[in-house]
Amino acid sequence: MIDFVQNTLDGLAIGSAYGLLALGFTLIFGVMRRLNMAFGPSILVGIFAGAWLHSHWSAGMIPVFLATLAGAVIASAYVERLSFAAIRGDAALASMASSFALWMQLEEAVARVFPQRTYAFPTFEGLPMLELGPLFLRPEYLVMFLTAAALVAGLQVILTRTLFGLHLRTLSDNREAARVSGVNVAQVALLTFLLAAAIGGVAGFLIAATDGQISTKLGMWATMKGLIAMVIGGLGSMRGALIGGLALGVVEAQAQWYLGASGREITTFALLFVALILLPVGLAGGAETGARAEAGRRL
Amino acid sequence: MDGYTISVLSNIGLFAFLAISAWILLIAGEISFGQQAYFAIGAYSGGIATAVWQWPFAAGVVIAVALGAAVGALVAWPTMRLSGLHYAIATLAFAELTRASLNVFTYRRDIEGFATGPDGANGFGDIRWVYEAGIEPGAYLAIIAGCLGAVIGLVALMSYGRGMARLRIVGEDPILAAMQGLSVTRTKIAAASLAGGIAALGGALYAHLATYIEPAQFSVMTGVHALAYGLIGGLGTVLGPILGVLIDIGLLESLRVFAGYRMIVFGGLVVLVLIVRPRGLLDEPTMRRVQAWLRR
Amino acid sequence: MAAALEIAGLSLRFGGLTALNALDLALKPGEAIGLIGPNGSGKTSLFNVLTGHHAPDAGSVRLDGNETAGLPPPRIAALGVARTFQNLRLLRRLSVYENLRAARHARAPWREALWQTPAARRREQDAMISLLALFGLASKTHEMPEALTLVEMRQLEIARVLAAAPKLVLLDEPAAGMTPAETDRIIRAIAEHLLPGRSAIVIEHKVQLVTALCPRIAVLDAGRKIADGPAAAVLGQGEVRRSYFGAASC
Ligand SMILES: Nc1ncnc2c1ncn2[C@@H]1O[C@H](COP(=O)(O)OP(=O)(O)OP(=O)(O)O)[C@@H](O)[C@H]1O
Ligand SMILES: [Mg+2]
Repeated sequence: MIDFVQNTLDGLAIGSAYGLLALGFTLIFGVMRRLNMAFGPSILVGIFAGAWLHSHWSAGMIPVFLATLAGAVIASAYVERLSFAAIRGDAALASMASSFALWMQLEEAVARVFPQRTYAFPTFEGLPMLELGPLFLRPEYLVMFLTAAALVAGLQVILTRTLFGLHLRTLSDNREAARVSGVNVAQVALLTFLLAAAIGGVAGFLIAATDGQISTKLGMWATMKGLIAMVIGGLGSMRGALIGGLALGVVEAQAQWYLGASGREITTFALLFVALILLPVGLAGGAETGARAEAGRRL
Repeated sequence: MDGYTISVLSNIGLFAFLAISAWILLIAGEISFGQQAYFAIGAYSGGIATAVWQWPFAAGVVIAVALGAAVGALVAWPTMRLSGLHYAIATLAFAELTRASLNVFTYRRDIEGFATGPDGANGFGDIRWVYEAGIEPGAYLAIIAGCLGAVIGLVALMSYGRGMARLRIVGEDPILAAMQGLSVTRTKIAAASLAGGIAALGGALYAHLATYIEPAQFSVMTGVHALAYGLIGGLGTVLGPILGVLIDIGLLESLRVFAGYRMIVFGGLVVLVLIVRPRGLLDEPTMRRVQAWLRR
Repeated sequence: MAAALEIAGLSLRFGGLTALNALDLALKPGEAIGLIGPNGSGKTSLFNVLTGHHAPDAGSVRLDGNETAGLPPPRIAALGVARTFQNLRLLRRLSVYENLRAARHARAPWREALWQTPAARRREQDAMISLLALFGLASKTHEMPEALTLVEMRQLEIARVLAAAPKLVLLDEPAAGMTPAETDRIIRAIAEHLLPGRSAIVIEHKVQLVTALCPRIAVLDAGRKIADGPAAAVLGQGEVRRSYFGAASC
């Protein structure tokens, strides 16, 4: 029982990072109605920028964090320009394939500059292990969880209190309506992309700082976790993205503990497959997810 | 032909099966991130048939194709009512589930004093039927080409008959298709089954060329590549996905000037192509022009 | 004689909105009825129920005595229902020829997916091209739909209905966006080729077209049938004039 609770706690912490990744995906998907496969690899660029700063200049946490964000945002801008802004509005498949090509490109570029298998990333040193009765909480996990919560709160403010947030929501709800009401669609789309990249960058930073080492596999890893968490939670819903991330984190932690690494993989993907079939609207998606899909089909 | 050319051509041929498999589903309006699962199913079942059960090669290939087609239909049956992205993720989940299961799948028999068969994450070696039968790489390349030709011929027949038209109608506008009397579910299940069989055929051929296979080879990366080939080469004809493979493996991998930069160059190329032609090089309008020119 | 189509108590709701409200309507075999009503009165929704796109919330639809309410679209199409679309629904990546042929795949045997004999293929080709010729589209056989004018697109949709050889024809504003001269042409085409021997419901705002094609007219308003009878009588009713011509500008 203690194990179960402990795993849940750890899973929630990792899951909050998954939730951030899913949130980035959701923002982009909401505005673009397309999948950005290069989301993870953009974050990868950021993380390696941070690692470079760390190893060459022995930079501390704050500069490394800023470099990570900057790298992710710049790489994302590159992806947005080439794979989304430059491709016609009705060619969602082309955007997906194109962003996949940029994924390959970014990953290989990073691998050329950083040829070793793994690199060191600065960690949160000197923080004490937290004890809650019989439970333990790694301090990194607490940082992860709190940062994610703060970020979500901040995002909520941006979405509800700023003009950009209003435009973003309008655009997500109804592209045509947004255009008619004078929203600068191209600009909002770009900004949304960069916002998503920044959120993803934070998630990437937290994950890298928890592990203490990074490899080029992180790009694909981030894309997969974010994508899966988004779909589990319910496509296009921000609350769903967070719930999906947390659920994925907890399931993985439990399966890892009770079934081992291969058991975790099998359980996670089997659950994902079954969940999609039984509950395609996701954990948090209501009828609205289905209605939105239906709206494009008015005869 | 020297050995290197033969091995590059064999690789192109094998990837073409996977690319055509993903392309068929694209035509039917579905994105699949998971065709590598059927490649794996074909590779493992074909390998088990010849190496563990000591069946002849042809029987191994047949069982692989049948299994691939059956699993394709079985997986499609509950997932087809999912739309777009959900279907894509479901295929991804299935493929990763397959890979993860192969990681723990052990089935070994004593064959001539050696334990032979899949051994979880350690892979599955000694699939040696082709070598023991004394088939040269060049001859095996001819077998691959023959099978690929058969697949292209099948698609050509379907284009001549009603098959491809049905797939395209269902893929482009399922609502209209249903009102024209076409069962969208059945058509898509048929497409998924066909795609599964084709990928499994490629997998069985691959296993016997490589002689060693392991679950890690059938990762998402492989599947997404297969999907991208069709999108780059073009959705207008079955030659599109093959063109995509040719550009990537043929042109870039074999031109050694790009060694180490292949993905950077290929990625850039793809991005440019897709900006100009969102449905690939050999897209539908291009194919119409070719057909009009042929009719003259 | 038994009715070709018998709609009874048909209701369709979208959340709080009632698109069809306890609708009754019967068609004799070979009868063409005009369906008019202001925007949003539920005319297209009726077609969507008749073709199986929406399952009704209540009521029944009998086609030659077979209950079709709630059946999936392919089953209903197989019973002989074909329609055109108000917003046009052509397959933009397929040629005009393939668009027309789309109506024929369902009734062909499965083996033809793989193998159609050259003779059968030629016969089908000839049939399709003579159909296109009826609508003056023969020269466009191998064009893409985007190369057609609006009138030609509507004609192609009508030809597609004809290719399906249906018993019940549903036309959703076949003359929308056309000039009077073009409307005349489409009226003639429908009257000559489509209506003979078939039951039909024609949705149209243009009185010119409705009266030319349909001796009988029904009027929908907010999902209810408010009038039904001989064209001249219905169009003369004060209530119809108010709800319809008062609301719609055309
Ligand atoms: N799929 C749908 N989901 C929700 N509401 C719908 C849907 N289809 C139609 N409606 C609503 O149902 C009502 C009837 O619509 P319908 O399209 O049947 O009207 P119509 O008589 O064809 O109008 P028009 O003359 O403009 O074509 C409208 O208020 C419309 O907004
Ligand atoms: Mg209408």
